Amino acid sequence: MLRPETVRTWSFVHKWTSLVCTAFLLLLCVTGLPLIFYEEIEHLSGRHAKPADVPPGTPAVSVDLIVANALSAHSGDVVQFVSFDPHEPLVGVTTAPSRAAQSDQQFAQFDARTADLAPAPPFDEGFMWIMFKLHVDLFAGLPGMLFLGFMGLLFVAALISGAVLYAPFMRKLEFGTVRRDRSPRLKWLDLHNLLGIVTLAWVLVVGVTGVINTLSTPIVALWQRGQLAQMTAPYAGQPAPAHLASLDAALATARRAAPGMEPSFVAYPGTDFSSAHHYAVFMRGSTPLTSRLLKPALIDAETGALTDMRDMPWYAVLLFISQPLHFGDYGGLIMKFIWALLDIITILVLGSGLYLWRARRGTPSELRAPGALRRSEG
Amino acid sequence: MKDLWRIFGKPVLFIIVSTVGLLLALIGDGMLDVVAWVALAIPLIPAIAGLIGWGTARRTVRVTRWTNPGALDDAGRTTASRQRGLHVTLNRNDG
Repeated sequence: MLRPETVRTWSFVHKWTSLVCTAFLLLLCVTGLPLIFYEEIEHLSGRHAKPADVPPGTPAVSVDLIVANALSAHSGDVVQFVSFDPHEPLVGVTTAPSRAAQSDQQFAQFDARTADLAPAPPFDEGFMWIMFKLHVDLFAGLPGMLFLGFMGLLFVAALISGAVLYAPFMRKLEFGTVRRDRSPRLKWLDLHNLLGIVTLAWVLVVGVTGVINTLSTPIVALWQRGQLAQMTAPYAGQPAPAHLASLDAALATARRAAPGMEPSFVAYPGTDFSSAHHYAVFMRGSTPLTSRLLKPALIDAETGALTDMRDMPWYAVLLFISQPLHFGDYGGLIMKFIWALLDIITILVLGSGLYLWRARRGTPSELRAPGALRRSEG
Repeated sequence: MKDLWRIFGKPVLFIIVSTVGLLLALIGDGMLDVVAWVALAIPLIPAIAGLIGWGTARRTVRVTRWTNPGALDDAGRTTASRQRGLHVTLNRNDG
């Protein structure tokens, strides 16, 4: 069992890592709650593009036609990305004044069977957008993301130190004991310990994957400078194609090169996710796991020929796996409800931790060690 | 070591069950999702029981039935071995 000095050290770590991050973690848990049901809320509130009512089995039209429709609505713009909804027959087209533009981008979705526009309100406004931005970067871009990542690291340290401190607190108690017939503080101490320890695995996984997600921008930059640069090196210095080959043909080539996979999105030549000379077709698998693991196929945008295709490096795979494990969107609606309950329990653990800290400030220091606490209050 | 296992035995089981649940739903759909739901929901049982006071109420009733009222306070603070003995006795009464 831990020595008193060791307990004090872990208590110090637990107290300060928790105190620094709790307000932000409460914000993340509260904003994360509606985000668990993002798709459902967007559907119910009519903010999601709806495919057209067409007879079942209606085949998809040419993606080139959809791209032409998108460009006709934004004359003078160029296409940056084309994305494919994994659940509904919808194709998203991102256009901008130039391929490298980072602002003034327009996103529109089209029915894959009719090539007609599937109207939807802009995604970057409304309640869910505010929740999303607060949760992801506090409206502060990359510095906000990295700051929340640091808070996540403190939270992980608080979880580990909390698990260590569970032992001295539970030395003389049976698992699950909640002493509700004593002081409110003792009741919430027991609940804090119980709720924290039974949800520890889930909270650790969501916390660690949250930290990894905050590193998405540096991870993408690392991939661009590493693997993408290697794949496009033979084309360095070559002029951009004067005429782009058919996107439908490029998609067919990518499908032949990666059997069993489907396109997730296409980065046009000159964008950050491709070279000046290639369509980068990012393929995805069909299982909950492989559908997150993207595999880039580079297609020469002038000839339509496949030039390279590789599995992404380990750090990108780590990011892809972290996303479902953080969002809880890979096991149906019931999993989302369980995710929400676990999120609410985490809010209770954070809130009870704050309450215990405030209540304990009036307690003499010699009574704060776990053993002394029980002797004095129990 | 025995004391450590007594303290962390059940929490470790919850950690294993939760981890299995988190991973199963990643591997596939259908039945794997169902098993994942069950596995992830298992840790919610003691959590909700603790919140609504189900476990505490049961323990208090049993102790009151088993021994004199004066022993109730003592039971909450007694040594681990006495608590284990108490539970063994109660389980026998249930059986």
